[in-house]
Amino acid sequence: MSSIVIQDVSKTFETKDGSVQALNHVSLSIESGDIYGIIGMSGAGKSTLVRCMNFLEVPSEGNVLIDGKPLSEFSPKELRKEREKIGMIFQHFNLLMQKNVLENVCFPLYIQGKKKSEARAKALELLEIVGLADRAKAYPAQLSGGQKQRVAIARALASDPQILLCDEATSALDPQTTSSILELLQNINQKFGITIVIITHQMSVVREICTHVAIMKDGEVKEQGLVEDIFNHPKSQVAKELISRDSGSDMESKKLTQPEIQNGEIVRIVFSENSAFEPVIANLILTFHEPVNILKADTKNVGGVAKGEMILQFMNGSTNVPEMKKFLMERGLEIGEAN
Amino acid sequence: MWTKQVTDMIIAGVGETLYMTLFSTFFGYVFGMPLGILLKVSDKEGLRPNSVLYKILDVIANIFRSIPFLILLILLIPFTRFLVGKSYGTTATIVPLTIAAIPFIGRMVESSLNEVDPGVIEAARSMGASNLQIVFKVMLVEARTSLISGATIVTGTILGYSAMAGTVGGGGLGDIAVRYGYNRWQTDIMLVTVILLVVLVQIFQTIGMLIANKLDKRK
Repeated sequence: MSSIVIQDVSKTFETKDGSVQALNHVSLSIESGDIYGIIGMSGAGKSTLVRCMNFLEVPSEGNVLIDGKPLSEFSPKELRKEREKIGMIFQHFNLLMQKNVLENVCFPLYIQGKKKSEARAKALELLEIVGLADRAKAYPAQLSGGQKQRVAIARALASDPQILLCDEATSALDPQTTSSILELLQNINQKFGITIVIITHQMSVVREICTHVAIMKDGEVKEQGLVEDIFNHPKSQVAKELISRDSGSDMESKKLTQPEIQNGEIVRIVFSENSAFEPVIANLILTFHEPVNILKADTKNVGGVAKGEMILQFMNGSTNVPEMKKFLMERGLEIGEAN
Repeated sequence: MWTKQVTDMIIAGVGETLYMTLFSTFFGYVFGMPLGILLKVSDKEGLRPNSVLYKILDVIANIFRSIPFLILLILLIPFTRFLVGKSYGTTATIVPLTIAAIPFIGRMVESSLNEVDPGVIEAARSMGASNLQIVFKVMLVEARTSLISGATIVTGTILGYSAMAGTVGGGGLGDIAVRYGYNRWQTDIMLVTVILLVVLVQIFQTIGMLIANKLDKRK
């Protein structure tokens, strides 16, 4: 059964300058055990969407189902109870600054009326999982950003949730810390089977750990599906932009064009798991005795599978191009237009 | 002229001033704290926005804060007599002092609570905390440093007001300063009482800041 179902949800905010539509008829279905990425630029509505999933924001239209039950039918008290099943972490961690690490993790348990000794035992266990057991007595101000987020994760796990919502959880962290937090989230997903929803504007986050992704723009979901499919065949303009921006940063230096080959046809080829290890390009050149220019090459870890992508340019006026394309396709590569 | 009688009188004055100040601050917080919490909670960005309630509390607080204390003291004489049985003396002075302190404290508490990071409140909501739990387990805890420094300022202000109450027979150091220093031109007595008032404010300030810093875990 789907863990979270968003049914035709719209959300309008009334502001001084008129009403703003943050979400426009959004529908999504997130399966139990998924790591579901929701990506978009700022202002795309993704933070509003994730807040609809625990009713911190009540949708203006549409419904949200958690385990098949619509949140709108809960009384305020039942809703609070339901929220215990939905953990949440935030960009700025949102820890209690006046309480130490241990008390922060105990906090949700105290709210539920658990005994102090019971809460502490559970909290220590969770701090062990996130690797911060030795900092139990420290205060948040004494921790680094990555450590604070680990505390926040432990706190979110305290009430044994089935769902963990992450609102830009790594956006305030450096790349290295981001990776370690993502790794932790992945472990949690595998170990406890918790469904994880990740809101982010960084494509790298999606490709590192997400199984599914929805791409948002202007309050609408433009594209959704398996991360692998969307990386290989982005359909919407915004998806293409996000993917090219993601690879752009580390590929800039490799975009040198050799002077011999200019104005030739440019194609984008995609390696799948079966073809990534054969020296296809080298074989291509040896077969046709003709150079091709590699304008861009990139391999990524997409959902745990090595994925490669190349932009090739053929020689200007070459008559072998159709044959060469056929050669590549026969070896399991996908050929598309470069953008 | 600096006799034992005068010394005893000044010592008694210190006691009366402390009695008035501390009791008024205490009663002020008994009513002012809930007022501040209600202001914060009913605010349009609050946990449970209620514009009517907010407006009413807001206007009442503003009215009482804008009446000069000396006038309030006189206006409240019938009320004070009704509560304490008489309208002069140290105990009676606690009534107008408390009334003056309540809206002031309410505002101080409101502004302390405004400093609490809305993100932390949102996090508590996401965990299923009720509004009551958020007020007592999140807002008051996170704002405690600010609340204590606020209380320090409040105590100092009430001490100043209590000296004013001396002019209408309230007792305490203010009373002595007015009667001996001002009316009888005994400058030395006035000077001593004023210095004692300054020292008292200083002591409250130092203690308050020490406690606030000790409790602040943000650094």
